[in-house]
Amino acid sequence: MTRYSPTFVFQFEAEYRRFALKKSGTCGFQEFYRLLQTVHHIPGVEVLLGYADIQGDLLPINNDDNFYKALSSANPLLRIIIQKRDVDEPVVFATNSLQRRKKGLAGLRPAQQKTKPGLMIGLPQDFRQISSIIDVDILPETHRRVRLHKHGTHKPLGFYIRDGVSMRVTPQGVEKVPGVFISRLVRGGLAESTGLLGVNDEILEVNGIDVAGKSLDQVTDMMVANSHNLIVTVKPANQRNNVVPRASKVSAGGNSSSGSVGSTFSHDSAPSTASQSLSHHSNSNSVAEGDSDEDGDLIIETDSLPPYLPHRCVSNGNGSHRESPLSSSLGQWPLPQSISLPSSGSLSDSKASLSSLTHNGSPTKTSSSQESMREDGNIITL
Amino acid sequence: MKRFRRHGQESQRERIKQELYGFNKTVEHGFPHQPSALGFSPSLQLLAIGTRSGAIKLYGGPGVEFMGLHDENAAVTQVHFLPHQVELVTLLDDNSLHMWTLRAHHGVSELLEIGRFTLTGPPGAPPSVTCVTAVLAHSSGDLLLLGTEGGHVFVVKVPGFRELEERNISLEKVTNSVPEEYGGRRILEHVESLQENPVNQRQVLIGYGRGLMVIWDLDSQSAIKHIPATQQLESVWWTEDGGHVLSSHSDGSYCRWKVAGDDPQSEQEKSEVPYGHFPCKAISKIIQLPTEQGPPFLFLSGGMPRASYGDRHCISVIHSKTHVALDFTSRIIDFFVIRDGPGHTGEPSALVVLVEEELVVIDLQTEGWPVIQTPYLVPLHCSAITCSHHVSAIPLKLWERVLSAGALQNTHYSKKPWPMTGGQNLAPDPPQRDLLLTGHEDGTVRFWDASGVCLYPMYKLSTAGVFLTDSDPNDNLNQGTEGEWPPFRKVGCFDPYSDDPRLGIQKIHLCKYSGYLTVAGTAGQILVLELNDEAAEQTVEATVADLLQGQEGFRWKGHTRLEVREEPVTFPPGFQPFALVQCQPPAVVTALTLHSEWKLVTFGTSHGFGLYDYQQKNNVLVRCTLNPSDQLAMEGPLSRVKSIKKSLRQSFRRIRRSRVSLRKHHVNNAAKLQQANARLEAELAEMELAPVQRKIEPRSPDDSFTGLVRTLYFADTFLSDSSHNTPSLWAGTNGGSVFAYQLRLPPVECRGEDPVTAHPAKEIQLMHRAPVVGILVLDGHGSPLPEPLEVAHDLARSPDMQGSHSLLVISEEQFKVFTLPKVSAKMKLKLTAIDGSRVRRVGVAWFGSNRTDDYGESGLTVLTNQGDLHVVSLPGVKLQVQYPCIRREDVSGIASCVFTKHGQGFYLISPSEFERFSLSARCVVEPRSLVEVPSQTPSATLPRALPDGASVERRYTHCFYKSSARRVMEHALLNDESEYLRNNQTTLTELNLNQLQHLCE
Repeated sequence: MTRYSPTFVFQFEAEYRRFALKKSGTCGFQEFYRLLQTVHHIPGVEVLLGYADIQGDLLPINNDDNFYKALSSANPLLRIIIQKRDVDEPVVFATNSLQRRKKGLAGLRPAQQKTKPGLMIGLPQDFRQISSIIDVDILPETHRRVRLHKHGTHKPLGFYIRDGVSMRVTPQGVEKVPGVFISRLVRGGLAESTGLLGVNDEILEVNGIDVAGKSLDQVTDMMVANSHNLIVTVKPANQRNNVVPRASKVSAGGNSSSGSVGSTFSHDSAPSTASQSLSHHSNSNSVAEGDSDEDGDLIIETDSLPPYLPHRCVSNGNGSHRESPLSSSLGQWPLPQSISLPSSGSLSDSKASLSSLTHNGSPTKTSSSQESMREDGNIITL
Repeated sequence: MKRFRRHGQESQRERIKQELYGFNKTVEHGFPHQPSALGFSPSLQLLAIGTRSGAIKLYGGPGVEFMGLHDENAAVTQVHFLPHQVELVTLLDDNSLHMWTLRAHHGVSELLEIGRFTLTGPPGAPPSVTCVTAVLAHSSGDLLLLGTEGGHVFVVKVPGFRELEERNISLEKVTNSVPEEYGGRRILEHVESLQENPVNQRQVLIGYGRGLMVIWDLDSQSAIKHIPATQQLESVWWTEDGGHVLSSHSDGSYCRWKVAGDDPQSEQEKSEVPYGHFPCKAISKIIQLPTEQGPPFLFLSGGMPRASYGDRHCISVIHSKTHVALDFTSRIIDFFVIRDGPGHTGEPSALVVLVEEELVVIDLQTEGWPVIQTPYLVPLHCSAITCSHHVSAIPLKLWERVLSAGALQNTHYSKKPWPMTGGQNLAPDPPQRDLLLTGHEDGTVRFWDASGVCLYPMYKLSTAGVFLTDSDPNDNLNQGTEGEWPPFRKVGCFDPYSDDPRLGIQKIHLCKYSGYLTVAGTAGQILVLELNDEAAEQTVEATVADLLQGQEGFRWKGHTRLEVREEPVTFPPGFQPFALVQCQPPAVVTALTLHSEWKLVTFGTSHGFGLYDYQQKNNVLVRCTLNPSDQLAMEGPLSRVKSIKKSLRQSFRRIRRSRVSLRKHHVNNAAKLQQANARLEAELAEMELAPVQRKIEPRSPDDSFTGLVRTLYFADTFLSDSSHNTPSLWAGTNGGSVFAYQLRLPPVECRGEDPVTAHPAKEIQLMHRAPVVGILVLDGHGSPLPEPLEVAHDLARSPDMQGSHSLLVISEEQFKVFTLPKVSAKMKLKLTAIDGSRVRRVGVAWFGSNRTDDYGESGLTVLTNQGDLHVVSLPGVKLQVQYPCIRREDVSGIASCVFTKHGQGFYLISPSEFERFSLSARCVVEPRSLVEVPSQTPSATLPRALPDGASVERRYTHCFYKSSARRVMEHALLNDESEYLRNNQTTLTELNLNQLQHLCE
């Protein structure tokens, strides 16, 4: 049994509380909710709970399931943001993906009274989007463009591709041409759970780039290089579940598949992405700018280095990690400045990186231990 | 309007691109892979080599080279120059004949195919009738005699390939004109040899496979004499005076026949089996050449006693009392003898032997018949090449010192100039001295002069002496003892057998200004060497670098480290090791960089990296990069190689055992064997049915070998704040991590005492986690930082320290520029996401414009896993040009690529050949040579004067021009990559073997 205790940091009207909780001895959501009210001395005040997960997304806590999920993501620190329910501007729980923010989700609405027992159904906004069908209006009916969001899930992408032969109708008649096909879906993987991809689907494009004439290895490398935000255009082997574009916006019900868990169709935002990737193709190899999704390199800077000129003899020259107690370093991190969360609005630039963290840090801190940096890095990784 | 202007800028840029870049494969260095035929033209002084892949290569004086490729993918079996002409005929194993010529074009000769021809027999005849076995290019220059398997001789008019049917010498004609007891009674078999009478060009000798030889008069169309040999014929030689014929036979004998006189039947004067008594192998070729005074030279190939020396590859040279059996290390393809004198009819001066892996030339006029060093066709692969490193623009001082160290190693070579002198080398002298260093499996590093068309060996460094190895270095010396018979003498340098694979060189870095060299090997050994003109005796002490840094739970399963010799070792003049770092675990070194100004060496393996101060001889920094869950990194790659050997041995034992038991329990085991066979078949069928699949999964931090250090880089830049530049060390790993350390060097006066320190300053984890293959810091002008000591030697402009520096991180998937000192992404160029190719090799190069001398740009030269070459501009990281270069299946070719700093490069097209290419429009090294038609009429046989070609001395009298502003921008070559693919392949082989073993059981 895991015996370590997650540490909690709470934010309530810019008030911070830190306390420890035994992981094994945790209870349900309701009990936790009450505990928080006690800790903050706000019994009876209706609040919304949110937590920052490993990817830096602000996610809600409003039932047992996502409470346990939140606990499991604490290692060991879990940051919980508490907001009064009647605040004018609601907290936006969403992923950090740009388009989601542009959409300006309505935020978390109090669906039900917490105290009321009953069925709790999460709103789509409460879930992280993991897949979508896009560009329905510009693609032929027989094709499907699927976007897989890898971030935020621990599920593997979970599919394999192979070489194969595809039939094409050309002016000369039907021709056999080499093609790339999905050969296998991993059980429980993202690809399978979306239900949008199937075995023997032919892959036509990867992130807007035609794969015709490319070798299996090339297509593999392209997919892996785009794996954080993979858009594949396929010609499904099963043509019965095709999306039929309607005149108006396609909200596309769950007609695509059985068991598509949490897949939503964010049609309106999609063409921009697709055209962007297509434009990459046209002026191919130009510096790809502005695709926010990828600049999330984790950068750790130790700017506490003593100035160069005075030559100080430092005994610890072998560069091994200097362990410093977690608590002490944590104590020096003022929370609001050090992390960028969607709600705080500091995430205007998606390129915000961990560097902000250290630069705002007080100059007095000693060469901060890399361990603790990692700690924070994990939380704030974009 | 705006659009119009932009269009103008684009076309302007296109024009500049054309002035800067141009792709050419220029010349092939090294020894042709799988040679299959040799030809020589005494009048042109050119030799020709045909290969099994259908290439034909001509070589004359140094720098005179031509290459042609047959369209057919068939082996060249014979090459014949037409006497006194610039044409040559090749015979391929698909029975086609090809006519090539050297045509002058703009003052430079080109090798061109001008005709092809296949013999057509009478309708209905079996193919053997027209299958060519012997070719004689008649000295008249316009006749080709083709002997066939069916025993006929066809006469063809050249160069047009017109069959002269009326002059054909059919088997019937021959059998009718010799007495019945020789001709009629038995089949003569194929035509083995065709020889022309040296003094009467109308007479031709036809040697048939069964032994009978016939002298045929071309004018009277009749046989005038026959030679009744009875042994299977191998080769025939007509002596120069026309009076005798020598024949060699398959039983190891040769005979001399008198052919002067009117008697229609020749007498046998002498028959001898030179290595006699016991059965001997065939003498495949015989040549006898007269000397002015004294006995003739006799050359015999083969003829060794079958039982005891049947596996040797020997040519025996017999002259008077001297008899030597030259013992080659690979199969003999063919040989010829060069003769002195104006008409090349004088004394034999050199024996030229083409063996499978090298060309050996023996000086026959110097006592002891020493070997003449070849200026080209040098076997690069005398031990397998494991890595290479190119250094451009070597200072004259270092060049001379390396040359003189090399001269001391070559004292056993003949001092005579290279005997092949054909053609004139018209290529301009190379603009600078370039050095190519190749590391080999046996622990040697070879230094090659790569300035020009000839890749010339300069110096060989052996690192094996530092270590204790199983072999005794004196093993191979003094092998031949007095009175031994046959009198063997080892010649040639091809020796692919390595004493210890751990000695293999993996990384090389040479500082051309200081003469410091560092080399690193397979067993985690890093040697730092210094150029010394005197021999010195010294002990090399090892400093251990424990890269695991206390990481627990790991057990190294690979090879052990090499044992260092404790006693002082005498090192000959040249590069002498003075410091040794031993990585622990002793995994193969994957990255290595030397900074001669700071006197630091940094190295990396799959476990981490270290920084070593070679002045104080201690480790400054050791950093473990290992992912705790990465178990694969603990298995040395060599352990797999070993296990292949082991498993091979085991499977042999098993087979032997099973053979024994088979005899005992015959029935039982046969059933078992059948079962095993069935299983194997089923498995094979399954393998064929299951298609190749590729998993699509993002890289994870838990992947194997994420900690493998791919690149290391020193830079003096702004690491912590924008006002003070400091020395820094950068390391990039396979898992997409970059580590930066700030280095603190004590002031010069106490550099020997005060410690150098390193502090972690930055870490970057690329989100896409692709391996980092290059790191580069660009100065305020966007130019790469100069190499250490370059500025001090006034050879580079000092870097701009006013503007802000930027950091370029090159991963296999993209090029990304970050700001410094605060690291944030500035711009990037994606490669993999766009076209699915990945960066395999990257270098920094300076491209000069071919229109104006003063314009140039620096850029990155990139080779992808698809075999494409790219140039990426700096500092804008924009793709400039793209050329397909290497087949993407040619994994070893792609892995072997090395770039120069002026936009050229080399890659292995076979284990023994480098292809040289150029991406620069200005800097191109290619052969330019002219071969002229011999001036006199072809029919004359009188001695003639030939215009003398380029001499060997020529290349050393280059006027090397001083380095100029053009070379100001020289930059550190970005570091390369490891040997995955090779490892992966090994694993596969091993798997297969294991499978087989299983099935054998």
